[in-house]
Amino acid sequence: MGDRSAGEADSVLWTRTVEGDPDAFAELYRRHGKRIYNYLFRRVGDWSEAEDLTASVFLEAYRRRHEVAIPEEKVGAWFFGIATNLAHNRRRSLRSARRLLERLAGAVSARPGESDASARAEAREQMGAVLAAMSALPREQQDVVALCLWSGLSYEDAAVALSIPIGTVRSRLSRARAALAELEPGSRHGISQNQEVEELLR
Amino acid sequence: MNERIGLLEPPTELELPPEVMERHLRLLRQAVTAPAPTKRWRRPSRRLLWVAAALALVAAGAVAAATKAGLFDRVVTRADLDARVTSGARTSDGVLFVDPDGRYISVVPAESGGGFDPASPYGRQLFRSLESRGENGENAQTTIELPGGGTRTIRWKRGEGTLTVTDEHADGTTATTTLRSGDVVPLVPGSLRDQPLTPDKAVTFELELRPDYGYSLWIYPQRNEAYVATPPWTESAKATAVADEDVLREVVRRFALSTGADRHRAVPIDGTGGRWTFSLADGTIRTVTWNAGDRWVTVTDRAPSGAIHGEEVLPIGTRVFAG
Repeated sequence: MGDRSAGEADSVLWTRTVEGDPDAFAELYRRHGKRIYNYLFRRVGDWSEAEDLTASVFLEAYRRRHEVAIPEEKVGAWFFGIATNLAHNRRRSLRSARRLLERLAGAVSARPGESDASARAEAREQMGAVLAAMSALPREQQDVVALCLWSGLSYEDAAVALSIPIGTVRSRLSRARAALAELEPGSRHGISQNQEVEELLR
Repeated sequence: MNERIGLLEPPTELELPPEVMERHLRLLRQAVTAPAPTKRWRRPSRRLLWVAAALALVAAGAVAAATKAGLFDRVVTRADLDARVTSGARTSDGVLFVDPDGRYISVVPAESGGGFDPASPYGRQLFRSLESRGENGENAQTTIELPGGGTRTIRWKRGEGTLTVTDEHADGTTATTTLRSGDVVPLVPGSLRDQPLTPDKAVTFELELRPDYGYSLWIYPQRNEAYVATPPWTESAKATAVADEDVLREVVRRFALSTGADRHRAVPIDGTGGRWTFSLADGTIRTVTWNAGDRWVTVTDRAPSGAIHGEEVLPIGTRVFAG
């Protein structure tokens, strides 16, 4: 990987990837991998699964490289779209991902370092509670909450990711907010099984 | 946009662990430089399908079987050897080698046996070596000389059902890989590289009407071509194909193949790729697609309702049963 890749736009890197440049693909991964990883963790609540699904997002993107026309500078949004689909089909996606990872790398899922373990355990616990509360929302509303509010995608990018109009993103988010406002007491009740989280909510 | 949303505040983002990043980057590089191989479908029978087919041809002139005396191949380059890592024991199925003349040699590790096209001198050498060592028991190995020096040693363990290939090059370097059931590789590295239509460049689908009875379909996604029944590679391979038109018609009907005049378009193909759909006995609708230039095909299974219940990528050099 040279400086050339580091300074190039996503769309240029993607074009080079499609042409078979592994360095360009690696740079795209470096740019977007962390966000996709955290997005997937926030969708599935498990770091190990998020790791495997993150790899799947990029492999799936490459597999579909000839099938899609990605809008200018929306490569990252497209990755989020793939991640969303994989999260929706989590079980099947993981089966497929793990077969692929085993076949390609002969490796088991890597474990985080010791220094990270407690932070990850804590995050996992917290995320479990959040996802439990989120489950009260319809899936399409969960999608826009996770993309726009948790991952910071613009409405436009979320629209690309979900293949829906921007207006639909807005309306779904609006409905999600309203639903969450109503759900808040119940959500809090549901989360209260976890004392630490309950403390944070007070 | 970092809007908070009340109680549903997710944890702070964490970095990808470095070892995970490293592993992912390695995978992505492999994806760009080589197909991402996964296999889900039923493996070729552990029984000596091809051996039986060839013997049937020699002994009885069984026409359909003759066609299936296919010569399946996959070029194993150094990169392949480096990339393909041992994944543990398999207790069934076989690996098919292809000699430089396009003739097959089948090795079934689980049975410490196999077979070969009687016309293949390499096959005779390989199995003579095996017999002379008296190793029909748990472990066996045989070695062939490589052009330009060096050797290729094939080892298998009956109990584990594994087969490894170790190349020792003239410059002293070595490389070892473990082969899996359904893999097809050239017996002599690089010997088929200049032949564009050898089966190492294809995904092979066995179109069986019943066990050991039917024809093969070879899809070459890189070339955007597909052939049925008649092997498109060497003349010796073509010569083995004596198509039984009645059987072929049944195969075409059963697997919804194209019947046009273009023998390289056995399934629907246009300038961008191919899309072949057929139904399985249980109602599953199986679709095989590829983009022109790819090194793999994608197999998607749908229920009659349209719901997808399976999807897999099959790299070139893979042989599976179509349904």
